[in-house]
Amino acid sequence: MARKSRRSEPPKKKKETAPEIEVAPSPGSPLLRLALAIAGALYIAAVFTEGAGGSRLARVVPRPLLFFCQIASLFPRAATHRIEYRAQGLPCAGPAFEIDVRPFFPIHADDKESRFDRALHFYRKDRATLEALEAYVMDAYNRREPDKVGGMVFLSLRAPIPDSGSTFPRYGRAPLSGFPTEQRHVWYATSRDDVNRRCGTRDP
Amino acid sequence: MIRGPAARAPSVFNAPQPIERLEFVRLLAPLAILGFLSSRLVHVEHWLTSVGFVVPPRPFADYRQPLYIPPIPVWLAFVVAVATVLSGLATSLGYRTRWTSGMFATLLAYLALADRLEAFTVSKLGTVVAIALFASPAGARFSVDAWLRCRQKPETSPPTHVHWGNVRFFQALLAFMYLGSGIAKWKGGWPSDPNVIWSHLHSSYQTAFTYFLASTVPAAGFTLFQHLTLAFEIGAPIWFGVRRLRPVGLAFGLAMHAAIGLMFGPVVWFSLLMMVLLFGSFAPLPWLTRPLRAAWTKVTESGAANSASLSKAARG
Repeated sequence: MARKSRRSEPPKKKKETAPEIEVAPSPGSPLLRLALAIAGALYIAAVFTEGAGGSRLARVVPRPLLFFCQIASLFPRAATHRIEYRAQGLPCAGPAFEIDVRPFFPIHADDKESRFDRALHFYRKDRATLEALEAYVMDAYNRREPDKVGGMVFLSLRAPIPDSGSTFPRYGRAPLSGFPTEQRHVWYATSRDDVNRRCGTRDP
Repeated sequence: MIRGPAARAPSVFNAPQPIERLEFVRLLAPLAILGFLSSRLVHVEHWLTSVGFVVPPRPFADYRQPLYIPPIPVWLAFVVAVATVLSGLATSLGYRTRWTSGMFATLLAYLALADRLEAFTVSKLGTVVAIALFASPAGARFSVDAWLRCRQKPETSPPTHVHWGNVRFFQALLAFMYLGSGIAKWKGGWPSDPNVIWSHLHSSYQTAFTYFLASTVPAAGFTLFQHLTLAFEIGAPIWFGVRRLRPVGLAFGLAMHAAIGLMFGPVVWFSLLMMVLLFGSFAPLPWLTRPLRAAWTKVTESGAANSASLSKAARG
């Protein structure tokens, strides 16, 4: 009997085998979520535009926001030279000499992410920033060293890239004197008048 | 929570996405960002205060100084440094994730804008990743928050998915970031100049690995890598948009970033961040679910065992 009645039952529907999903709710109201989705899409479009088209959004997007969109243009061109930045001190008497600025810029002191390199990379043509840099380096140097300086020279070194496939020595920081004059480019130098004035007014 | 069988969630653009993708990013992206910041945070007084060199305010905002933020006192800089580390670690662990990820995002935005000299791609992208985590349900699973919730309400089942935008944002961002970068490279002469990568191997970013490769790999090898990189970046929407091609795109992307990280010293943190985003966004799902669930089971079991032994000890 039992078997018979079971037979007469309508065939069971095939059981759903797919696992249940539970969607974690996103924070915020639906309207806020929509606004976030639009903001996200606009951000992606801005990242793409800034990377592909160069900086074209500066007129319409506020600078602080645009700053976060400028992430998609890494190493776009070949390097023409290996560029380093250096400093020389101008003493009250005698010739300029190289100052190792690494102790005054301890963050990434040995590579081009140093604040000194970055300052010159961005502001090498900006007089106000270079004067501030001069004041900072000179002050830091004169507090440490007995032989004071009255001015600074900031320069870049443009070492040629070795031919592809050629052998070359491993990178290492070489003294400024090891670079020929034609590889040096002076971006800032304190005038001799300013050096003399500073040397004359400094306490002995 | 919204419940339903997975069968009802077709693989369309706006279907719910597996939560593992989001949680993988939440777990590891803050660590890559903190790794990048670590070398700066240890000298925070040279970064955010007038102890170090400070670029003077400029009359007009430009790409070098989008917003002038004056230096802060040394004690406050140390507070910012500690708060950044703690909020980043808490976001990674998923502890009070809503608050800590919001705090982490705010601090990262401040650090990126405070000083252009220390702002790199990780500073900017990291801020956006932290904001995206803050605006998502990150921490709903595989987190301290989830563990605490599970202890309080053991009958609740953990979420398996998140709304599409929380994952699609990272996926689309990667695809279009690569595409934009690829177009910039195309315009910058990558197709015509065979020595672009070679030319970048000689700066202070050079590592022992870079030098080894530059000394042993023939020049044509770097040219080939250059063209493959260009093809990967320009084709990114296709590599990652077409399901069958996704493993190829993922493998090349991971290999490319691993090579960049090994060859360009400090760029390693950028590479790790990109690898986390790539893997979280596009790895085959079992590659994410298995390790996450195994680690979660281990953590929760040992946590349960510890609390059981603690309560036993307390009882006497």
